[in-house]
Amino acid sequence: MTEEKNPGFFQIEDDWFGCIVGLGILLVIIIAV
Amino acid sequence: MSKIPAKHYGGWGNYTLNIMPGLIFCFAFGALARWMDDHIVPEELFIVNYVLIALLLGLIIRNILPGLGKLEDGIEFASKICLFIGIVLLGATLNLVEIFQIGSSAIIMVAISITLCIFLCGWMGKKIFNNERWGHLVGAGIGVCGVSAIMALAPAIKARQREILAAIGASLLTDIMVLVGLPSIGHPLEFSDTLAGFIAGVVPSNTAQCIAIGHAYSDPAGVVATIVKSARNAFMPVVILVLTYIYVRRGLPVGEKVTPVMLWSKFPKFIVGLLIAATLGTLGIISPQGIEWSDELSTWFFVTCFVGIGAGIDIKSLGTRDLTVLGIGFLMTILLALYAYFYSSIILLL
Repeated sequence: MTEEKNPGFFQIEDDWFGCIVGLGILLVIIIAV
Repeated sequence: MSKIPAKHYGGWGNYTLNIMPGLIFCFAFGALARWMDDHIVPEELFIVNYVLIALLLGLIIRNILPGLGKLEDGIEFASKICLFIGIVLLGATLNLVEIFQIGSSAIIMVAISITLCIFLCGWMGKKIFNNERWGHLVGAGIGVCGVSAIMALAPAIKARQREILAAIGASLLTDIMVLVGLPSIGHPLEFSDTLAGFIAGVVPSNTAQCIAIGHAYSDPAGVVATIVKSARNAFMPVVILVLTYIYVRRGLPVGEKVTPVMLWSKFPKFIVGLLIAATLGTLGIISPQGIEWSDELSTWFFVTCFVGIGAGIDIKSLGTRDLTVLGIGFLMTILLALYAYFYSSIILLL
């Protein structure tokens, strides 16, 4: 496998992104309600 | 799983601007689908609900209106990432014990279905095309998790572009068949939500479609389908490992080496979020009102995703794929549906 070049900005795997956003929303709900 | 934003966007600002039109499009038609379900569709017509309306709205608009190019990035975001977020939020409404009960019942069932699917498709590929590799690719797609299993396995067994496209076509066909078939057969025969959920979790190929089809039957069926499909997805690294091992043993060319890092990279991480959310819900850390909010929000993310899934299906491209492979997909869908029905009703007593 070839080493991927750094694109110069932060990237994240889409499933991790969905996981973190979902848990973030849940945290807001826990604090709000 | 792919990384976001892709390199060509040059950063998060440009990426956000690019996905917004498609995301707003999916959300707006999702809201319309929910409104139509509440105000237009008569209650007696229980087969038609917001999930089917959202899928159909997306499908019709995508295939009738030309030039939706500007919306494509947002449609892709909606059909993948809104689904992941929706699943994590749905986790808060689930009981951890229930997840493990459904998951453990599903493990043996999906292990058998995946093995049969790959074995039968490999055999048919060998008999029909004299190409067992193509059959294994189709079998992994239909048996495990559609496009992602095909794309993960393809480099490991060095599949060709034509073989990949046809396998994807076959996996999409299974999704469409179950989407139409499950509500039309299950409701008149009064399948329970759990039975319908097991069928929706085992037969369709792609994760988003399994969940959509489960929810199209009923919301509890959607929850069961999500858990069963997650158990099925967990087998993906094992299938890749076993098939790669077989191809290495036979001295056939293989590409990517199977390492623990590669196996972890294939594991769907949103399941981690679902389990954390379910733990918080089960331990009572989220209040009952919070769980209601979480449920409502997950429905909004799902309906946005379902419009995106519908809008992602290009009917014309399905027609140009290899018809024989589509025939294998057709046959396997019927066999898998029968297997799922009899296993669930006889062994799991649903």
